Amino acid sequence: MMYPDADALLEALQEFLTLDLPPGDFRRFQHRVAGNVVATLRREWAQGDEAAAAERARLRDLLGQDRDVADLNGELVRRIRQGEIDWTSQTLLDHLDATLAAELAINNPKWIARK
Amino acid sequence: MQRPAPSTGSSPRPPTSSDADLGQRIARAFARRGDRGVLADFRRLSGGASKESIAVTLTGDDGARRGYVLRRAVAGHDDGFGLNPATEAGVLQAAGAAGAAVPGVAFVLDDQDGLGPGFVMHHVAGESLAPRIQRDEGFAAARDALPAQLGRALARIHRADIAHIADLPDQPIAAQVDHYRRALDDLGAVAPALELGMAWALAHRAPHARHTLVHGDFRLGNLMVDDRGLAAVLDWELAHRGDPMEDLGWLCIRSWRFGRPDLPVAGIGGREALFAAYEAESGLTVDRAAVHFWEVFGNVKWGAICLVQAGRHVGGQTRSVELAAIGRRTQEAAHDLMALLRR
Repeated sequence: MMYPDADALLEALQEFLTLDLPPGDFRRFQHRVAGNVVATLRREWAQGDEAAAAERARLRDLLGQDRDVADLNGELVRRIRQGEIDWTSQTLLDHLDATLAAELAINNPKWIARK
Repeated sequence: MQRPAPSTGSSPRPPTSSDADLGQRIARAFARRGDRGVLADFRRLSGGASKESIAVTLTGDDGARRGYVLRRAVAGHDDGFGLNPATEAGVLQAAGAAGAAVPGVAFVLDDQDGLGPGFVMHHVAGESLAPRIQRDEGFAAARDALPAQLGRALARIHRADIAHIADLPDQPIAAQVDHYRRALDDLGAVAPALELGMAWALAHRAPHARHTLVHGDFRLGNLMVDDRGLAAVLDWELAHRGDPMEDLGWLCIRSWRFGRPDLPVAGIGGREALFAAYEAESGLTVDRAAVHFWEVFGNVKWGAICLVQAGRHVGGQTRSVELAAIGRRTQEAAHDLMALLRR
């Protein structure tokens, strides 16, 4: 495909950010960070929708409410803080594990891979 | 209580137009105290959120160059976390008197200096960047020595006499949980795994066998290391009164192992060398369960700090891609805490 889609643009930006800067240039570190941010964006572009849908489905089952992900997470935090949910329950632990695994697969896949 | 931890790889910022005025004030601060040296150079170092560090070089009458670091609170950067600089200087001196390697305090700034609250300490040569300490050939001997040196340093810090330091806050676990809950709420941040970690912490409060000076951010990045090992313990602005085991647990969290997750003590060694040296120096037994407790809670803290850091970018206080990116690291700590609290 000739026409550059969003991922192709991000890829081009990622390549631009890996161009070498002179040693000692104060932008070197920032460019590396920015390159990692673009890599995160590309993974989120590919995986984000599916991860958010799965998280929302699990939260709906866990809390018995149907709202958006942010509201559901706010409700979960409230229940943990108020002691209205058993934080030792396997269902809750499994949900958080699955959510964190999906988020790390976007933000920093190496964190789990290198364990 | 806990300001965002400094990043570990920032480069110095380029000079700004107000720097000439700053240089004059720094030169005058030394001159007012009878120092006849001439200001040769000063440059801002990367640093914490609430304080700025400036490396200062003076040339003496004899032509010898002397290095200092000026630490000061920065207007607009004060996030309400961290000690005021005069208290920080007092804590440094108390730890030094107890035998811990720390930079000597040269003088505390006053109103007439026009530099804001701060103090000046002597420069300690060495390396603080974790990847270099962990990988460079020149630090091979240092790496062998460090786990035991860190244990001894902590034992000394924990016996420092702090009775006279009035402004040093007490930070039991309940106060820390309270603090981080409020910090996250203020940001509108929603972090269920961190909340679960806080619930766990309140249910498993570490028994408080001793009540001592706690450094509060004892890890690579805040330690000056030379080819023989630990040269100085830096960055005391998070010091407080509390359970000394907090420092050992924080040192061991995976985020502070940087590129070596397999080595639990700062990514350079094993826990037993740290504990054995601590016990030999203090004559006390390291409470392993309490260290584990603080390692779990250390992950809650770091996970929250990642979000607080990102909040400084999103909220507009400091626009920075680096701060924005740190927000995406919160799950690393959350993931680790979920694994640890089931152990």
